[in-house]
Amino acid sequence: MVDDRRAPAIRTEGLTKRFGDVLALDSLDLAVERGEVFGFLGPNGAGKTTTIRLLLHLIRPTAGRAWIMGIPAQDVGQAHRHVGYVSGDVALWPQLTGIEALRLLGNLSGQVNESYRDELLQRLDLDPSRRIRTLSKGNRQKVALVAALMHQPDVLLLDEPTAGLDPLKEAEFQQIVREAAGRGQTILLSSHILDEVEDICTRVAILRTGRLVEVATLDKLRHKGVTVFDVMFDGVAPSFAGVPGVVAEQPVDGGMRLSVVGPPKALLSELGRQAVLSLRSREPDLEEVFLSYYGVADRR
Amino acid sequence: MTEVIQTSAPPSSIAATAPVSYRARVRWSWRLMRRGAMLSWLTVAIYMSVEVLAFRSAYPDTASRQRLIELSASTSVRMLEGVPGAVDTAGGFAVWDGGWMLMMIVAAWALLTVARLTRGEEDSGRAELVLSRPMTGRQALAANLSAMALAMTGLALAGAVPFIVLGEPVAGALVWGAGLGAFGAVATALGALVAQVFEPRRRVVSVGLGLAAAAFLLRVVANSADNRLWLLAVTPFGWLDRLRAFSEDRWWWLAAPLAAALSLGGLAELLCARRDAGAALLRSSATHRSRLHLLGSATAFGWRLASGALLGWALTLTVSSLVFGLMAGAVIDFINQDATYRRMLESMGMDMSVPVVGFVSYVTVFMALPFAAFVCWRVGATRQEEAAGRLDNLLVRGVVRWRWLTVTTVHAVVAATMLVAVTGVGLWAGARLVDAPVTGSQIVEPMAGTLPLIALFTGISVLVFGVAPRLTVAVPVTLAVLGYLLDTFGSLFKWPDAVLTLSPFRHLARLPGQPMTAAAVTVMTAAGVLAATVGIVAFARRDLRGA
Repeated sequence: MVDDRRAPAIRTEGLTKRFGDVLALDSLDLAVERGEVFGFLGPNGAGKTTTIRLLLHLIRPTAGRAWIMGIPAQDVGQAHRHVGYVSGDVALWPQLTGIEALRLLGNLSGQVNESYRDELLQRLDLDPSRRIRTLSKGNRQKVALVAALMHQPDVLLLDEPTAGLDPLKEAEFQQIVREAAGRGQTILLSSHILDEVEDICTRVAILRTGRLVEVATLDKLRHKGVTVFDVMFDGVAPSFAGVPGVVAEQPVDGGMRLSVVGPPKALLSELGRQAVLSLRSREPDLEEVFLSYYGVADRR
Repeated sequence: MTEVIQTSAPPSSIAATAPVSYRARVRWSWRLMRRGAMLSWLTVAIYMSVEVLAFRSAYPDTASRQRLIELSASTSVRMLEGVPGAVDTAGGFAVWDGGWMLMMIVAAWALLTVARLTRGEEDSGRAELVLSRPMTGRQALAANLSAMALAMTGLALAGAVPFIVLGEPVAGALVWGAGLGAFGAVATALGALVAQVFEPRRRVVSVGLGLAAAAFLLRVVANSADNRLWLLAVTPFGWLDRLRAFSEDRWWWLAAPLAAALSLGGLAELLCARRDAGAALLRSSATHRSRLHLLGSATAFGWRLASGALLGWALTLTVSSLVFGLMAGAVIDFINQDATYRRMLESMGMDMSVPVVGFVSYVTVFMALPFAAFVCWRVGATRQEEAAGRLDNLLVRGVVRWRWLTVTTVHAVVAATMLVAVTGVGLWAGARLVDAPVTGSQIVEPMAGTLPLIALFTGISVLVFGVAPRLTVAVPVTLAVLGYLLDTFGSLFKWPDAVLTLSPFRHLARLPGQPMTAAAVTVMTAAGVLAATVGIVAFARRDLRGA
């Protein structure tokens, strides 16, 4: 038995899932430490939801293992005591009121902090006396958020949790997540809203077609050797897709934004042959880092 | 609290704006209902064919048919089956003996289907995908009704063709078929109208079925005495009686259901333009006092989710069994006076040495089919929770799958046992009221005999849920219906015992002569428990699967 006082909040070892011919997750090794806010990035179909459903043992791994707070994921009776979960596609019972749904889900999770629950309801501006059927998508999402947070679990598995929330509530949600992390709760935030991840996560993993391609802190990612060049041209901007090192190109007004991995020598010599008006280089933001992993190849 | 919502959507003509997308919408509606439609055609065609063939084998000569005419006028039989017309012909007998049952089946199917296509699609939000196309709500409703009209045309043919093929009079067959189709159209239009007024789908279904039940009761009252027969003119169930297919062929009575279908459908179209998409004219209030009972655990909540439907099943089965109990006296008279009828029932597997006891057993075997259907539905509702993703809410909160499914399975059996109990009470009360000579234990014994059958079909349902979740309802319900048909018609057509014994219904008690054997009880119960166990283990080991 693993010593669960020191075990990472989330750990996977060779975690693999195959749906028929499709390899949805390929041998994922991951450790999320306690108190981390961990971002989980990747385009649709990269394996983010599959990973979370494996961690919850809603689906069974084809190979490999997973632990929550040192407890094997398949021991749901124990492991789920530490978990709160929100999916981006909330399905609740339409005939129940918010109060009824929260009572049921609270009874199942156990140990609801009632004053915290009421605070969440107030901060997210949710009227729980309405039937779920009559709520908008965003308001249903709020019910699910409150249900996942109200017992202050050790681990929050959030799968695109802000789908349908307005920007004000999204900001409030981010604040709530930061506070949870401050209390020592661990958060796995799967998202493709990069701003959200950039704002609250300390470390991110990047998935691509079921494979983990990177795990790093945001700072490290930014210094991963990606440089962004904003180049203005006299006339029509040419394409640099074939130039060695260029991983992404994006037309901007009057020019081109180019992401380059490694030394920019090849690009610079190519630019020397063009009518360049101005050239600026800077550190990438997360979106540019993200695109550099999928970049030109994926968009072909 | 309810309030009337009025919106001022402009009226629009149905075919003028977008005929192409309209036709595509009709095809889509048809696609959503075609399986049910074809199944209903098949049911009608088989039912009518069997009635004709059964009549020919049971009443081969003029003398036996003359007796039938005299006895068919008995009041309590007439209340259910209607005023007999030409019951000495196969056609007249078939529509008299089976018509009321087919009307109930057709009405229920039409109401359920139209509620699903209209209110159900709006509840789920899928209707908005259609309404965001160049198409108004009225056109979408008209498309649904057109597809239903197609189904009802098929139903009319399915009602008529068996008679024509079997050599019965063509005119009578056409009048009867058209009448059944037109009746289905009335039920459809009524459902469409109710769907404009009420939300959500569950309420539409219960209001629609309630109105249909009231209309049926009105027919029962109308047929109870000659001076009340005029009441037949005000209930759709009576219009089919008024047609008098195969005797007088009063085809002009077809005008009544057709006019009703058109005006109810027209009214639905009119109201549809006066409401918002997704809303009903009578809106249930958004807030509502929370009821906090049975929210303590996943299994308690499962019981709560199923309790409304359980009440519906209990009421329906109690009323039906009460009616069967009330019929006991008349049926006994009928059997005692008509040796041919008695032989026909005997050939269908009924022990008639003590007619009233035989009748009770026969009713029990008949009721065993809805009992089996109930457990299939109950496990199917569990599958629905999984497919819709709602089960995730429970299973991410430490609910252990095998334990949860085990308790859910036990709940299904307990609920079915409660249904058996209220059905028995209804039957007993009905028989008491008409002083039929039957004791409590003569009812309890065959009723208790259905419990192993319930265990068997619960087990099969759980097994399919565990290994092939998408077939959870289809497979066990099909097996139950086939088993019932095999038992009933296999005896009639004298199929070999080796075949008949495959049907679990074959092994239910046939009192007074054939009590249920210990072997039958043991085999069915053990098979049920084994199947359920395999299903539970399989469920605990598989992935959750969406729709």
